[in-house]
Amino acid sequence: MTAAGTISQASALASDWPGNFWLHLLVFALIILAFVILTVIILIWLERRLLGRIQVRPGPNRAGPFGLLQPIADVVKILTKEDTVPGWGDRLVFWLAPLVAFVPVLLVFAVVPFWNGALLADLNIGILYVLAVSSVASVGIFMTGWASGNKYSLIGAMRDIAQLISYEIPMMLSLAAVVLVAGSLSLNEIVAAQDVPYILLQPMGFTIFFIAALAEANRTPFDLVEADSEIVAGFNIEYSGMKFAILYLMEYSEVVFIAAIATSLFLGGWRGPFLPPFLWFVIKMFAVFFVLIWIRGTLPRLRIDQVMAFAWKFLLPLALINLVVTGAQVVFWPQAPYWSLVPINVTLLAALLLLWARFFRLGGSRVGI
Amino acid sequence: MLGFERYGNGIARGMAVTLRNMFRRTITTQYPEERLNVSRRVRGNILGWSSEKCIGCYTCARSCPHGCIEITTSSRGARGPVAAPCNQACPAHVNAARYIRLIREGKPDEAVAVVREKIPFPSVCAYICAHPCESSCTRGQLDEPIAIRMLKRYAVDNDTGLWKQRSRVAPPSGKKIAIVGSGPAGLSAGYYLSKLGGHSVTVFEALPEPGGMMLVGIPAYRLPRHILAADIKEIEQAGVTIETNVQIDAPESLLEQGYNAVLLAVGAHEAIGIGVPGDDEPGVLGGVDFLRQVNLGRRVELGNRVAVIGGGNTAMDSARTAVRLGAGEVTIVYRRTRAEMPASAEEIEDALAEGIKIVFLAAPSGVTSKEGQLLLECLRMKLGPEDSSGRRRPEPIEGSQYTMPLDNIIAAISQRPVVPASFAVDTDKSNRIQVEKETLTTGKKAIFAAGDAVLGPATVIEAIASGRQAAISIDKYLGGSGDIDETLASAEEIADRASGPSEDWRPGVAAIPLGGRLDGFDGVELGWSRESAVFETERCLRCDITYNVEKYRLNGGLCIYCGLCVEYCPFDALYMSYEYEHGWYRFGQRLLEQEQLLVPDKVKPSGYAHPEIEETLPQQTLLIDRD
Amino acid sequence: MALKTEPFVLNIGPLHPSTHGVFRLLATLDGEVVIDIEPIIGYLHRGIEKLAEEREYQKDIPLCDRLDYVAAMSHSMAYVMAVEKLLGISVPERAEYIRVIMVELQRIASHLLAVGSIANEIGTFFTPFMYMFRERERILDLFDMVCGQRLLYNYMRFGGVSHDLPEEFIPALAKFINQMPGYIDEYDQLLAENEILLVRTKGIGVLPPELAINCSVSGPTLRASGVARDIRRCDPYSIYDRFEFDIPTRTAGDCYDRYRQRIEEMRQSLRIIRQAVEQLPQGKVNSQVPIRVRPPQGDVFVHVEAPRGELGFYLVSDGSEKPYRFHIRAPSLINLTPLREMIIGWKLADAIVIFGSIDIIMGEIDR
Repeated sequence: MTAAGTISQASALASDWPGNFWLHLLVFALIILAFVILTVIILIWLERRLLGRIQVRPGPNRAGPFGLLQPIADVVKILTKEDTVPGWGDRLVFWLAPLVAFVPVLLVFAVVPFWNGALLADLNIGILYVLAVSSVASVGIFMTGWASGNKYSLIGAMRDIAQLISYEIPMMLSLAAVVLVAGSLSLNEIVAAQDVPYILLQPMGFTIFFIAALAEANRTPFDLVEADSEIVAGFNIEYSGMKFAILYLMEYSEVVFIAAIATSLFLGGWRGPFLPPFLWFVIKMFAVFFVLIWIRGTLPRLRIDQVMAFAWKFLLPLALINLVVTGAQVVFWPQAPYWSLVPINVTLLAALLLLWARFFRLGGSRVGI
Repeated sequence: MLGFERYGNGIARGMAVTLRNMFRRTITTQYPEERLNVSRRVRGNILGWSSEKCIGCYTCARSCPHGCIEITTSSRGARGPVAAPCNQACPAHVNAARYIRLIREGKPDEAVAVVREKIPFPSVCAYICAHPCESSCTRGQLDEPIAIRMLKRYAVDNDTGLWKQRSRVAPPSGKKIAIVGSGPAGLSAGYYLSKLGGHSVTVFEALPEPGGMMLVGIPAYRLPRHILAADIKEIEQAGVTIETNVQIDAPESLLEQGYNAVLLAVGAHEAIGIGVPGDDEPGVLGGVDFLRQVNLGRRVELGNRVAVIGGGNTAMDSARTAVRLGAGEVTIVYRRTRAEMPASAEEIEDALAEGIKIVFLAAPSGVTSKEGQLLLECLRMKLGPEDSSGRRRPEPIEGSQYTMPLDNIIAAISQRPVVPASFAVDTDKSNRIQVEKETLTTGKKAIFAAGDAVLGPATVIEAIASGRQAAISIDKYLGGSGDIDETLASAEEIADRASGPSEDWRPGVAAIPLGGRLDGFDGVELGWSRESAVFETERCLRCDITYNVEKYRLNGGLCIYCGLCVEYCPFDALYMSYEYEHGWYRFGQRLLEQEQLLVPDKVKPSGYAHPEIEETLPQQTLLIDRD
Repeated sequence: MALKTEPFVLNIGPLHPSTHGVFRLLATLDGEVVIDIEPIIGYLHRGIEKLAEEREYQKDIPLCDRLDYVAAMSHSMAYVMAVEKLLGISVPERAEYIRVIMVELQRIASHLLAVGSIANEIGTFFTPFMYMFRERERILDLFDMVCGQRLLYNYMRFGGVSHDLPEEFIPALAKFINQMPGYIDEYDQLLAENEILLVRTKGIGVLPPELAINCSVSGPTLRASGVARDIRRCDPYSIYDRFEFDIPTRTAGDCYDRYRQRIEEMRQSLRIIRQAVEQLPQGKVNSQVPIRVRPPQGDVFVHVEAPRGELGFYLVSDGSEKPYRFHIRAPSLINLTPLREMIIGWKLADAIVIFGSIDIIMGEIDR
């Protein structure tokens, strides 16, 4: 009852809510900016506190109640730092790179529905837009690596490009399966179509998406870009001050972005009983955050060749199989009831994962010199 | 290569661990609370200095690996002198610290006067004293104790007889005292009773010459006879009559002869046997018996191979005497190790230098005689736990017997007094005369006892102290004041000292060369020159004087909190404590409440490593407060 | 068409998060593959050997703590044993037991740090590190209790130790040795079967036993290659011959084995501590040796099993109060010998893990 009720209630909003085109644009641009920055601030605080708890220490607890003002203190500290540009670097690219990296991540939120219809632009190619724009961020990262004129940052940037190209493919394929099920590219419509969260209908798709998204956002165990034990801080090693703050913001915005996309596509987005839809959206996002932080607190880092092998040998075949199976389900059994599809897909996930894990080898060994 | 054939099981287990830990109490909150209950630091972050206790000996400055302690002293407002450890350790309470200072000022005659204030045998003690003062010397904790005996020897060798100027002689009292035995105890008592009590003293000696154990127990190469004779001559000049070759059988008979009091100072002249089967075989000698025969000039036939049983000074003397008598192969058998040997270290060194072998961790288990030679059966020992004396107890190793073929065995284990039954005084099971501790009175009226006869085998300085005690007691018994102290040295002014004691070690002691030693009984040890003696006195910490410390500064930038200065301070003037938690609590009450990091009712300092320090806290200077 | 590539030189360190101090690794990379390395040391050179020769024997004890600041107890014990051998003095029973307890606790503390930093270098974000520091903290608390210091203890003295154990020590230690096995199990649960850790360490940086022996490698690094050499067993010093313990070895000699080896050694150390606490006698803890000593002329070599391997002290005395020659056989330095053979051909990320699994401390390498 509740899902249908919420939808009907939310549908009352006009598609160009809340007003005319320009006002809508302005208001939503501000909302998105505020939302992203606020979420990032909370995310940074949450990550530090949760990592603290995982590591049996309290985490930052001095600035403000429960250390809530810690991100503010961090920002103040970062902004008062001297803004340096390495003399041997490419000055123009060095200045431009943080913006090139940050703006696309912010742009992605234009199509994320916080409520039914509550989004900047309900593009009918929403998912394509998301994938296309988010990839641009990697150009920015490569620019940072190149412009710094530092070998560590260059290695980090190269790793990022390699990683991005590899993981785009399984990610796209897994999203294609979602599109097949939902029958639309618009995120709002995909959410609206989720009477059952797609994590149940598309467990395989979610798994692949989630892993690929970890790699896209450079989160553990794929945080090779800034692997601090190997290449110190990777791409942002030469950055300081405001530019570093923007890069930092970019990194966490990417996390917010994958959490938002995962919520919209697989967790039912803003749909949920009792609570207002927006709150549901935020709650689900924070659930994803929690898992991300938990993974960061536990797992070691893979090596670059292992990361690549994992994408091409493990995720890509599974994503293809998933697409084929989903396509078959949609074509041959379009009216299938959820109660029959869910167990079938979950079983399929388990069987495929176990099978693949059995025969999959990462490869990579000592190179003869 | 590897893959995920365990289906991510390991990752899942890891995730479970981190999830579980998320709900644990965080370590940083439980840490200070638990710590408060358990931790008791020895070294903390606060280093303090007590001006009350510091005497300005510079030990801290010298012990600092980084040289970060700066100290300046002067004699202005210096306090003291108080009894230094050497003074306290001496049974006769000779003020060693003071005469060391006098030697440094170039006044050896004044130094002898200081010694003379307490003992009538300065020369004898200068040659053979067992120097308990050196064992308790504060400098000994740091490196080597001050060579107090050698300094005394330097003073005695350079004496001008200054002490006689201030010497006082009491008016005759008309009382007669008989002393049995002319050893250190008897002669000391006689000297003081005669000189300061004014009594008429007669000393009876059974042997042909006076001196007791100093004469017959100590070989001439350690104590040349003319030195002993000179000291005894001084005593005779003080009015003591010595009658040699007189054997006293009953003290009562002396009282009947008109003596008002009798002092029994017969010494401990009977050697205790090995206590194993066959220890009465011919060729087995007692240590002191052997030494007595040799020292009285009687001929003792020794074979080539001699074993000495025991680890004390008598054993060393016997062995070294045997070498001088021509024994080619002398072995000392001792059941513990060198660290536990009661003989003084220089004696052991000399014995080893003279070619004597020492067999450690062996104990005799039997003696047999075969074809004119002795066979000493020995058992190997190992050290067990510590006994009441603090030395580790030797325990036999089963089945480790071995035999040594020998010509003579000298049992230098211990001695005991010979108290004839005709004395009719109470004795204990090691034949010591039972006396009342304070007054040295035996059970009988007017009969006193002192020296080894009371103490068992002891040192010369202990016997002298015992003689002094007897003199006081007898003087009081005869109606005198019991005051036998005299002031022979002039009053002292404390000299300035800016640089502290020297960091050097003891200068070496010259001895006659090894080749010339073993033929006769000439004194082995040669005295010190003025330079050596002054050099040695520079090492004295002067524990008895509290100098005025004008400046005490610690360079906190260099200090590494190693705590060596605190550990090495002989006077506990430095302390390290910690107020770390203390500080945190003060800080915490204001700032850490929100997370309840610290529970307020547990606020308490954690205590100091040395609790007694706490009482003296207000007078102390805080040198560093880290954090 | 193949792209034209050329190797480039990457300077890892001396200021780098994974160099365990100030080590410099001049790596030549072909893409991510390390094709050549050149270790450069000396950034932490303090001239300790010469400093020690300029100081009196007792003032060198705090200096020896600063050699391997993660295992200060072991280092000062080795030095003190060398001087005791030179002086020919014995140590009271209780002091020997206290020393063994301290040194074995120190081994656990040091291995905890080593394993924690290996995990860090593989890329876990400080979680195993913090868990291990949680237990290391308790060991440091125990040290704090006996000597008031947490890192550089200055606890050993010629002829014993500087202070007796406080009364709270034994209960706290008993609590620790009862809880520690559970914690070690927790580390295993967190790391030992983690697939990512396995693929990052298994078969990586293999040190064959022949190479290890040829390079004179010692300690856990050697035993992980299957050579059961432990000074505690092959040349027992102190009172190690009284305890029952195993010398664990591994076979493969890769990074994983070097990590497992340290975990196993922690368990054995706990066994030794448990026995030592049970047998701990009463008595003196110091045989009253004067503070300044002047050993007779001669030279001694004493070697002990420090957490990182065979630690040797070679002292020459000329009869004065300062050592004439003070030489340290530092295990970390010698364990670095096969580094090139182990790293070349692996990727940059592996190089860091291989380097970390040897577990060096720059303090004793540069000294």
